[in-house]
Amino acid sequence: MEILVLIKQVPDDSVEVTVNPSTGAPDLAEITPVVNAFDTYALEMAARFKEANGGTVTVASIGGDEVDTGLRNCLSVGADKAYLIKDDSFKDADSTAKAYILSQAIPKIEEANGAKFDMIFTGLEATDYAGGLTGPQMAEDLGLGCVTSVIAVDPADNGVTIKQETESGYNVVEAATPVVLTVTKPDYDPRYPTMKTKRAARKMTIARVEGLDLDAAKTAPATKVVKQYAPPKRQAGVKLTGDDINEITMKAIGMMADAKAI
Amino acid sequence: MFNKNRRTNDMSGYNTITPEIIDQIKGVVAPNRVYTGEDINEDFSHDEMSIYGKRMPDAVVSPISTEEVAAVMKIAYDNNIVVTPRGAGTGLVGACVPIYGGIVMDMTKMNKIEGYDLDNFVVQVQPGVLLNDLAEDCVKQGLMYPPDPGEKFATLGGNVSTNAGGMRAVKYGATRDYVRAMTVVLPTGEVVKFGSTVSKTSSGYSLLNLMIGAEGTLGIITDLTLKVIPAPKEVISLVIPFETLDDCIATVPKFKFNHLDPQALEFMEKAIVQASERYIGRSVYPQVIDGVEAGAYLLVTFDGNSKEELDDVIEQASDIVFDNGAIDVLVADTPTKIKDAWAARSSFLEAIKAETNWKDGLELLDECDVVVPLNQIAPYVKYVYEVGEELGLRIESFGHAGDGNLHIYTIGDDKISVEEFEKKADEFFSKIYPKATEVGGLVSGEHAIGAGKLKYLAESVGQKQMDLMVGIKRVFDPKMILNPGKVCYKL
Amino acid sequence: MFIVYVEVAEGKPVSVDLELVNGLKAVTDKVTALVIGKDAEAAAKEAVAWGADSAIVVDGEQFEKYNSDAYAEAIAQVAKENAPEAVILGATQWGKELVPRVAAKLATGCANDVVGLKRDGDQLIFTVPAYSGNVLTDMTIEGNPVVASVRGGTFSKADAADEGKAADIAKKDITVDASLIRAQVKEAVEEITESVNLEDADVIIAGGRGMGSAEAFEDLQKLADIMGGVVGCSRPAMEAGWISRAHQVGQSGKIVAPKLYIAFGISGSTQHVTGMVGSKYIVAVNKDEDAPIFDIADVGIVGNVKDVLPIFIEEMSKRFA
Repeated sequence: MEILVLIKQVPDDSVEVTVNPSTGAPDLAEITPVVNAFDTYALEMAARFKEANGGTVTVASIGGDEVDTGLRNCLSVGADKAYLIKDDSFKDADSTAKAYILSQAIPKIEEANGAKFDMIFTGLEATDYAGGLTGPQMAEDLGLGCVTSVIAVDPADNGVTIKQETESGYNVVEAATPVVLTVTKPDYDPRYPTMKTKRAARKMTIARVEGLDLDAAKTAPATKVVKQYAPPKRQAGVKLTGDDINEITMKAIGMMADAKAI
Repeated sequence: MFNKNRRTNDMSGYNTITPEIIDQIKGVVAPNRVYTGEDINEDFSHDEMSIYGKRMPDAVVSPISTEEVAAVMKIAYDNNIVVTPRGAGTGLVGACVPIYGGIVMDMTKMNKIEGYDLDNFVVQVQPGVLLNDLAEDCVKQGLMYPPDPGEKFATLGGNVSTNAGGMRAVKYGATRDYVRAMTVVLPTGEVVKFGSTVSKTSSGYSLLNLMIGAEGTLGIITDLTLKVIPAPKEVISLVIPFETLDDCIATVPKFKFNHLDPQALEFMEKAIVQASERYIGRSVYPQVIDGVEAGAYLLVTFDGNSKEELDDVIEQASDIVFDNGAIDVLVADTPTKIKDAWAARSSFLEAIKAETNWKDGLELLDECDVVVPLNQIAPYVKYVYEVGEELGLRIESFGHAGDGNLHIYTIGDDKISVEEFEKKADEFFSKIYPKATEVGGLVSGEHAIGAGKLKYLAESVGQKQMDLMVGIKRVFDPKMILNPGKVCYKL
Repeated sequence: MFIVYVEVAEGKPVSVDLELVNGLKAVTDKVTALVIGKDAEAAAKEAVAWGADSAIVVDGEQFEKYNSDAYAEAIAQVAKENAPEAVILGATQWGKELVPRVAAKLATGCANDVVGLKRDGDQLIFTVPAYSGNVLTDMTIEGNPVVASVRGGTFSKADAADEGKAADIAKKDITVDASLIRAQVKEAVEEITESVNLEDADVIIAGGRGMGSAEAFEDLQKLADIMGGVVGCSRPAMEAGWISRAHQVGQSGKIVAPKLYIAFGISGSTQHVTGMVGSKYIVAVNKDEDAPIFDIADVGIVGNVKDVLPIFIEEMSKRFA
């Protein structure tokens, strides 16, 4: 099967982000960009599917030249081809605009590949804004079905069988291809890149998708940021210390009762 | 081996604790930090290797200051009461087991990080601070406390008392290299300070260095001044699979030879990786790479000043290992991947423990951590497995490839009794310890001696050296009340 | 007028949606509940009793069980017909997947996991969290209607249901073209049989790494039973295998805002705090006096969980007898 994995480069989510009070924007400059964690799960799932069932895995991302690093990392962990979807008008794109751009770019990538995609993977959500909005909107724009929270996918007659994670277990879902799948953490980790795969990836070209014929109204974002700020700090209360654990615990319980918490 | 749960009557010269003595102790330490009888938690009767025996203390005292430790020690000294200091109880050789009863001095409540001196690059800590907490705190300050023993939840006092090593020792050295000064309560109850903030010294015999690795037999550490260094800016890890352990180990000296200075260099065999996967419940490292099955792995970390610098280093390192039979080189270059690569290594002991058998409340698990010269690692490990097979014992091994410190575990299956296991383990160690000495190595790289390894130390270094050690102990501890029967002599 | 999609679980409206039908009245003049599926009518009556001014019910074979294709299409059709200012859903797993699909069908903008919604003139200002809750973004969304999901605890449920209120419920017949049904759930597999309702709990007793073992969590359950609460956990406790992920509170678990949250042996990483900082009263027990959890606790006890928990159990048995 032909698989497309859409990735987003985001600030490393293990680093705590703070809002710069003078710029009113999050301070991201010092944080290393990484491929969104959920997208790495999607890529690993796609790579394993390809290794079991045949086909190719293409990765693509919207962004500027700085996204090349992320795309190249993907080429060293299972992707066969990479595309950068590039245009200055994309800078402020929100999920709605990105979904539209992707719906126009993907047919161009299929043309370049010489094959249509059977599955389009995205991560369930990105660790920066955690909306989970782009994939499903793009599915609608493309007229495709969409299954979210995917933890496994296998080929089936007339399509694919999917495991969708739920609060108490999982759903078994059947879908016809082509289909959009948004992926959450399966029970395996993304593979390590190796020196052999990194050296091979270094030699590969990352093609550009440029000069798309886009409706300007649709590439403008539907959401506008009014302001960004740190959440109000909850006031710290009282911290009780002391040698007599019994005493301080009883004191705490007394305070809870006074506050009518119990 | 000591009889388990035996209340010894041979306490030649030692007294039992009376209620009056407990009252005296309660006069110098808050009564709610003095425990007797049923209030004493069972944990205090053993460490992480219960096969070395369990013995409940008669009292546990949890001091919060040097003054309290000194006052209790003085009462013990005046009344000939045995005292055993204890950190987090994560030891592997029974060093903190109170085999003669008496008082266990639980140092874990003295757990403050007192402050950093960034002009002199030292940090002052109380001995009960956990290694993990100091390591995390240092990172927040942009610093690194280099010693990185596998057990992150041991106390610094315990680390210093065993000269703990760990995975960064190959580049940075062991705990000994990072102890600048300490406050010690002597067995007489007197308080002394050894060392100072400065690094260079030629000022008399190094009493500081005698204390390091003394396993709580010469004095009780109540304060530490430790060296720290600026944290390296960038780190990268490589997981290198090889077909055989021979190929794997042969590459180790080549790193140094080519001016590559890894921060950490660990080797592990297929069996322990598989055990770790069963324990974690997930694949840890790929076992078949490019169609070739991995028999052993090298786990390497490099640190440096920039990503570019490290990219060069890993290119060079890869060339070296490819020339020596590496199947491939897996690169962990994101914080998550580095954490995962090392989480597997950190879980080895627990993975082993998850598959041990318990009989009569004791775990059928024994271990040793011999050090052998680098070029002896592969043949020595082969020998160890052969001996294990002869005796019908399951063996797991991994180790610090950079300094030849091996961790070898023997596991008893559920068909044998405690006595049989002890007998087999004894036979096993009686063969492999002398072999280590024979190839130019030593009995322990970092786990130390405690009570469990005393016999092997004696066999390895000879009675003369043991006598010298006992002589030194007598000078510090004239009544021999502090952690008796450990390290260098049996009672 | 807003349309609030009311999700139904086990025959009843999920609690976040009951918060919305009441709380959104601060932002709009009229709230119409939209309920789809097998138990729609009964749930619609409840939604009205808890605050909705009216309700629309969509029933039929295509909607018997939740299907994202059918439900998204139905919501979009109802929105087109009724022209609300906004279509609001609760930020549950299903609410969050429906939002972008409905928005795309309506060619409008959208947002997920909104934690604040207010009116500024004729503009609606949506507040969404970013970067694991470390940054809040106020935004406006273009579209008619705007589509968004709101996190539980952002608004409050009414104090009581007005069971006597006349229920203005309209039935709507909708047929979704078969070509639009692209994925179907064939089987629902339950792996976690215990039912853990963290979002509705008034009291949550949570344990973290400091608990030390699965057995220790049994003691937490004892305390929870005494206090009529639910047991929660941090991610490390879940990853250690001491308790199932159904109890997990935090960025990758549930976001909760109970009246009382007691954290035993939880250090207070951002990942966890973001999931419970909205709690009304927070108590923390940790042996590390520098643990960040104390920065957000109303009262903190510096001590070992093993020592403190038995005291809580004893004292609460007396008070809750």
